[in-house]
Amino acid sequence: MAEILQLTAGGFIGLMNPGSLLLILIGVCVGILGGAIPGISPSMAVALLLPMTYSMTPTQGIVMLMGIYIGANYGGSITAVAINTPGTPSAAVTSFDGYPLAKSGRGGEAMGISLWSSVFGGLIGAVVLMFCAVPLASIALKFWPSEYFALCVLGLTTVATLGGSNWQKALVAVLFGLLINMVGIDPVLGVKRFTFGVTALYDGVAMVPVLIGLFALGEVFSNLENYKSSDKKFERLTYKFPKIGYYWKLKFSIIRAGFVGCLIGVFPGAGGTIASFLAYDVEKRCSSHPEEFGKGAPEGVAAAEASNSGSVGGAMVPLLALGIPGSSTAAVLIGALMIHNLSPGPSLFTDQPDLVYAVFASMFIANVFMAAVGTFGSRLWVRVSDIPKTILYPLIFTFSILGSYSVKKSMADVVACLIFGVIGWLMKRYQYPVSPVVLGVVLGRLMELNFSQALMVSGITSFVTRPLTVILFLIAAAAVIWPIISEKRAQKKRAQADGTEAGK
Amino acid sequence: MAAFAKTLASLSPYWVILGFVVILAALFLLFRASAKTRPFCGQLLVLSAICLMAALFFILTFSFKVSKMATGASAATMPRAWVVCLIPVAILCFVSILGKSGVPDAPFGANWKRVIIVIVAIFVDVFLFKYIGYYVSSAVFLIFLMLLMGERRLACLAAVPVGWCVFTYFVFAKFLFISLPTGSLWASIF
Repeated sequence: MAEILQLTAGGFIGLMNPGSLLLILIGVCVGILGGAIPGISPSMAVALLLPMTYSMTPTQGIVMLMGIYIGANYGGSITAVAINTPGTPSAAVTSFDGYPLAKSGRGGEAMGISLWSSVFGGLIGAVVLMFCAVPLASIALKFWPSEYFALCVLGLTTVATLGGSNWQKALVAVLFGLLINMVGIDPVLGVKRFTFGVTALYDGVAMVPVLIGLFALGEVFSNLENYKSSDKKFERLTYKFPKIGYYWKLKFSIIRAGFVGCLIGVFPGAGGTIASFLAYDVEKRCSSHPEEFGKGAPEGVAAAEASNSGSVGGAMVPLLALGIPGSSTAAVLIGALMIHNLSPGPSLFTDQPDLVYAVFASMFIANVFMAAVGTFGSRLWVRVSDIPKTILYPLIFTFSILGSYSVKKSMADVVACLIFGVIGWLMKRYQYPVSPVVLGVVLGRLMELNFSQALMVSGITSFVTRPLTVILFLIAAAAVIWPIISEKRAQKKRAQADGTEAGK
Repeated sequence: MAAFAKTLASLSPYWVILGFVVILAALFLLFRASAKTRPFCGQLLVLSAICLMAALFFILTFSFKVSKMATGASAATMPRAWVVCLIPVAILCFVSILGKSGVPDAPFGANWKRVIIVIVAIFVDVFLFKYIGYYVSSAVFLIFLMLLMGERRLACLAAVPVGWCVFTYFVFAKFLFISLPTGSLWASIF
């Protein structure tokens, strides 16, 4: 422990020069900007700036890329809160409560919560990475495909909380998302499915256009339906940012979600999106007012953002300890290390300890910079509601088209975004929740891949003979059954109480 | 089943979409005809569309090539699993929509025609990218939408499209190296 602290202190000292600090700051600013633009994912932002690191020292290059990674994870929440357009897939969960908060005139509150939850979630991730990189990585290695499949099933149980009273429609929506995911080439055997000869569908339906369509376009279409020309401006909103005491009330939500995010981030392929769904679900279950989730619960925003940022630390665990990328952005970072003639993995700790501990230190510094940049930037973003609807709505449309196009420079993605915009509008009109569709799209491919791999490795028995798989399935079953049992008990108690009162 | 599935898979997507629309139109008429289902027509149509898509996917799974490498799971396994899961869920949903707790469809807002115009305008905008390029197409689209929404200030009508094009050019084309379609018309002229 003392040795780790000493080495991390060395990492901090190594970065305490204007050049390195400026590079981290630039990284954070670029990351926030990239994350806020729908279509620019954190991995894309890191990849785009990777060539700039060629002329830098390995440490300077990697810490700048870390700044981008951390900044981009937060940046996605800005547009999610302000205009219901998640800049990154993981920010979709932030919009569940962030946008309703902003709509109800509490935009400053939503922005503040998302910023500070991101910062503290990121710090939790950094601490966990610093102390637990090696033991956590060895746990992740013990996960077989059957465990990953069970983890996805656990992720699917969050639909129970996403649907609320409309749980039947939520189940239909999640299955719709899972079916959408089946379009394209099968991930294991390479068989073309449901493509009708359209080459643009071979890669499947891209995630970002679906998100932009369902959330941004669906919402604006819905608003347009009831738009009146006399109602050109939004209601005057308050931009007041909460005081520090307010965030203190959310401390447990942030800590819980930060750890959930970090833990999920450790598992390669799981990533921030699944982490934010799971953390949101955990938070709703722990909350004393779960009915407020989805309507503007501050805890919902805190959980989504803290887990998303916490997953960055988690994703770095297998990267640094084993040389395995925990997320797509981590995969780009591995490429960056290799460009600088470094081999990620256990040898990195012995061959390049300065670099490893500089990475740890940069995560703390980047989060501090993010707090400063985010505070300034959020004050500008929250004023988006000052823009008249006659200008804002057309801009959201063009922004959505551009964001969908940027992912793969494909017109097919733009068309997909529009189709999902119409679907989102219709689902919203007829009270079908859209967030379960996203859950299905996020989990579908990962589930199928691991299901097939598990069958190939050890047949159907692996789902019932491996203890970890069984435990995860049991947790998933409990996550569904427990709320039903507690609701029945509560009903029984209420009936008994009513009976006693009537007897009196 | 396999022969039918192969015929379906070989159809052009336009035929499939047309078939989809025809079936949904028939269902719409069916739901509107009954006093019991009329107030829930929209919700039932959304559910039917999802079920129809699932049914199509299920049939199409019989057209998949069976790989010799497949051990345990084939390309059809998961789609079929999700369709099978959808059957009881759809029945539950159907019952809940028509049940006592069912909430009738909300009436269409006053401006639903404007939504349709916007959807068509977006498709036209995207179609025009190829010919007149992203920048011109987006500028025209922005002006059209602003006019449609009731914006009449000339300064806004001019500044917003120009500002947007400048922003996208510098941020996307210059900074992020994402080249946007320039249009075949300009390429042929210049």
